[in-house]
Amino acid sequence: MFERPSQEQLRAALNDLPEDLGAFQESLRDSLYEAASAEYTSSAADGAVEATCNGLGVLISVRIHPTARRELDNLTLGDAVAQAVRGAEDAGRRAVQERMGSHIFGGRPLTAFVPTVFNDPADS
Amino acid sequence: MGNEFDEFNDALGRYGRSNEDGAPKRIAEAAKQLSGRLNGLLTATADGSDAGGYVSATVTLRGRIESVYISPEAIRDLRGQALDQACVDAITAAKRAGTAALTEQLEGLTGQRLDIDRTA
Repeated sequence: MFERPSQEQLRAALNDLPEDLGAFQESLRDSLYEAASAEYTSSAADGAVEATCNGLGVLISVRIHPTARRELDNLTLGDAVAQAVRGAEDAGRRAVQERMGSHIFGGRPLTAFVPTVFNDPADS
Repeated sequence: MGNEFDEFNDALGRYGRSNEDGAPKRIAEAAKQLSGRLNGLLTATADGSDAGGYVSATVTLRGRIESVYISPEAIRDLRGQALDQACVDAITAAKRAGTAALTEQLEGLTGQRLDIDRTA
């Protein structure tokens, strides 16, 4: 059930706003840029397949080791690539979320203000 | 009858500045309907492949990898990093297709053109 915040709650939230919004914005921008542009690697098939993404989920590279080509059939290899890419994407997304969560606005982590519809269901 | 986006906008317009006790609940209900519609859109999938057709990938419109298919010909014909790059190309193509499909769906829902780019 939705409840209107009390005046005391609203007053407390206003008091929790950053005193220097400009500095807060700059800190947030730098922090998110760092997390988003970093590289995150995950592997599958006992490390024989690796995938690297940035924090925005952009796939940078896939590396299939010779052992994977020798030992895995094409279908299993495809599954391993998918698994490695998902792992790298998850690692990047969580890093960005952690950075957002470390910034507090109005007494709440910034992740509380992000629409959840674009979250991955695996995170819920 | 409009779609969920129209109904949400309508609820905001009617109840956004209202002091009625039920106003926040009506807005929340409209938001929930819209959220449900968006979640439905994001579970749809899109496909892509590398230029040679050796590798194909399927992603959800949320951008998540559903599957990667490496053809037997890819194993036979692509040596060294060529297979690696074919996988990257297929997944990137699938994500671009997903972005285009999502843009089209959201445009249909909102009546506005959205510029979304989730691939570098």
